Amino acid sequence: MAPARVNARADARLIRLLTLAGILVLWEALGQSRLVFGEALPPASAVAVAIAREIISLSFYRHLAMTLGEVAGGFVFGALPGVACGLALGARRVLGAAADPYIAALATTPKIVFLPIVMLAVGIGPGSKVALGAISAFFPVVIATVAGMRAIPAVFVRVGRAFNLRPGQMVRMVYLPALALPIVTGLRLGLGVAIIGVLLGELKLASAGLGFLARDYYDQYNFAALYAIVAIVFALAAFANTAMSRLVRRAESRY
Amino acid sequence: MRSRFAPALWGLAALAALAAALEAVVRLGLVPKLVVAAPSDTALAIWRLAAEEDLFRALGATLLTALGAVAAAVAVGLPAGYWLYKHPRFGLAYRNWLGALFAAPLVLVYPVVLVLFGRTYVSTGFMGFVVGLVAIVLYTREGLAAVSPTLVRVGRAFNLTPRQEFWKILLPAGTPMIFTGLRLGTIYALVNIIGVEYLINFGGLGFVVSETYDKFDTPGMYGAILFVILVSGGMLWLLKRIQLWLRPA
Amino acid sequence: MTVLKTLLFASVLFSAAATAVAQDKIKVAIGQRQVWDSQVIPLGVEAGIFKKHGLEVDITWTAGGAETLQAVLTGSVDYALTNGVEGVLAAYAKGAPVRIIGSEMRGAGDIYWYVKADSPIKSLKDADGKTMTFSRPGSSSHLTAQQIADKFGVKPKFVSTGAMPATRTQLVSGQIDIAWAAVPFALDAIKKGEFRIIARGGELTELNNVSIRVNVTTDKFLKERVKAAQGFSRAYKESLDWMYANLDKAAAYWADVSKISAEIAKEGIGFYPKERLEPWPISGLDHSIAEAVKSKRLEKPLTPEQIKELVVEIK
Repeated sequence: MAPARVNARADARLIRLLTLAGILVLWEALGQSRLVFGEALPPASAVAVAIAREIISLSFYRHLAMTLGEVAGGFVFGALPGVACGLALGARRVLGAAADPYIAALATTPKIVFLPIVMLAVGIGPGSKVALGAISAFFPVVIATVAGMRAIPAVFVRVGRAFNLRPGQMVRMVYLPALALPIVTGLRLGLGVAIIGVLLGELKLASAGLGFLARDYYDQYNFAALYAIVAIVFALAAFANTAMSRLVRRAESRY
Repeated sequence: MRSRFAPALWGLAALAALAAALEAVVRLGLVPKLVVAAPSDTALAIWRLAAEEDLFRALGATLLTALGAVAAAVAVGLPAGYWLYKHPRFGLAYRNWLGALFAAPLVLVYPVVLVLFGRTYVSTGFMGFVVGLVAIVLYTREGLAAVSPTLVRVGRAFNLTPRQEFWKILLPAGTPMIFTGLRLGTIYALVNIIGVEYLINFGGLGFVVSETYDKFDTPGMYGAILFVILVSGGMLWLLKRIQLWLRPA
Repeated sequence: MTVLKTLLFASVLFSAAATAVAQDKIKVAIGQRQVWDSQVIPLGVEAGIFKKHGLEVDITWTAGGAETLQAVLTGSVDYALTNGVEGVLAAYAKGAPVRIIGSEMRGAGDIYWYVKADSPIKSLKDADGKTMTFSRPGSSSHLTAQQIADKFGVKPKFVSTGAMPATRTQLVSGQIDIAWAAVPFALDAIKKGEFRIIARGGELTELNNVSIRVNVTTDKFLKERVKAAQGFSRAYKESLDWMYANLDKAAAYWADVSKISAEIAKEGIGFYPKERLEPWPISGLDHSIAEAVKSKRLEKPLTPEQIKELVVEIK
């Protein structure tokens, strides 16, 4: 059994490697030839050079720090209320059922359209990006938490009560194990959309940040640098997603 | 009285109270009228937008774009998901990538798409297509892979052709997850399309939002945003009903 | 880098504060970071002019749309620069407490239309039936395109192509015939012979006496911070004078910010005669009001009382 499994994993890795190599070769060829889309598709090598240039420039880290700070702030200010509201709405049936359609409808709205309202509330500085990130992160988290609360079998709660568990013990032994996985899954999605919200806000209105940088390069017609920023952002998002996935797996195995 | 309608009534009551509070706040001049519109003005604005600014034309444009994007995503995504299922080495290899793409800020590439396809419905549609495709491929493969091997073996025992196997066993068994992928793909496509329409000031509903904003038509902007919320919410409700109808859970 | 330099400069002055004037803080929103006329305040700050007038300036850059004006309306910033005049008129008519305190740009001299070097179009006279582009409906590039086509007596097909980078690529790929741009975009490629300019907004000489972009603040700011408002208007004018008195330094700064060569920068400045940037008076307001009524941004023309309230001269 084991050798076949290892082979499968090794094969998967080989496939990924070959695919990546193939994509890079095709990209380089297309870019060099200028056949497709002219300067809008610089060769992979040019983008690699641009990435290197970014990484060694001091100002890049200023922008990176700004974006990371805004994402972190947005995520925290969105996820915490999300969990809190999710717990409240999940616990009270009528309240939850009443709020359901509105939350669902708002969840599917592209949050960038709330930028003017956000500006009114918190101005046009980094706070507006944090707010957009928070609004974006709130919905997946609250939805997942409510679903988690509803999925707790009522018998668990009754058993806990029958044993006269204190609130602290109820949380530790009944609620937390049941909610850990749904909440963490919601958090993963929340982080992803927080990143998107912050970046789009930076594209429209900012003086610093990766989104601002991308816009600047676009206005300068510097596509290699624009792609470099996009690649860096994708890498960061993938890293965040992997970290969160690991958290999800841990929650899965422990609870 | 624990009626079925109690939650909905409570929700509407809360909404009405919120609207009344907002109306008061705006009328009393506590917030700049140009940034927050009174609900009454917003309602009137939706009427005006429908009459003057072709709100329903914009709605049609956005929905059609989304339809095209989803149709293309399904046409490419379902076979792709099936292929990944039939070739498990590749399915396994690309699984993490698909997961990463699903969570990635794909919308960030819109400046590039804009340059490639111009300010056209192709650009907005393409953005919807890409995000929809990822969701559909991901969930199709997962859905098929989750089909009980017993069922597949039964099919083999009956010597079913691959085609029969797909239609009689795989698809019915995999429907819940596959349909979830379709549902997510549709919603993500719609949301992204509206978002990009707003960002590039072109197209259907997203364009109306950004246009009214640029013209300082604040009630119109809020009306358009409300309309967007209603449309996305409505779409979500519709898809959920379809999924329930297909597989009463 | 500029913010750092400014902060450094400010802190040095603070520490040598024996005779230093107490710094009044003002926040400014500016659209379009890359263009020449947006450099007035950054350069004024660099040259210490705003400091001299007792002002510490905080700049936020926007993408140049209605956000700039919205920022000042929500009180997030004190001044909004580079606003299209028709947008300001529309906002005022809807009850926004805006006040125009300066003209930012007269005429459309910073816009031009270019074609590929091998294009059969030699001048705008050949543009009949060809695709001529502008950014978005209602924008200054749109209005200028229509007016300049009228002036040359041609009927091109007008197409909205959005921002300059997207427009340029569509030109190169042959999707459109005539691309629009504003200084300094594509000037380097034009210099190398890749493209040719076939029309300039500056040819609409009648527009050169119309303030198409203006600087605004709120009436609240003017009432509550009289000294700062005076300082701002004075510093702005002085900064403009400094810019044109020190073209080499100003050009170098602009080249660094927009990532263009010093040569292109000098050439680009040629598109901006100083009188077009003079902050006073607000020229051609009647023309702008008429245009705004035509484009339905205004329901009816402003009354003289309204104009008196809207436009404020700060000396």
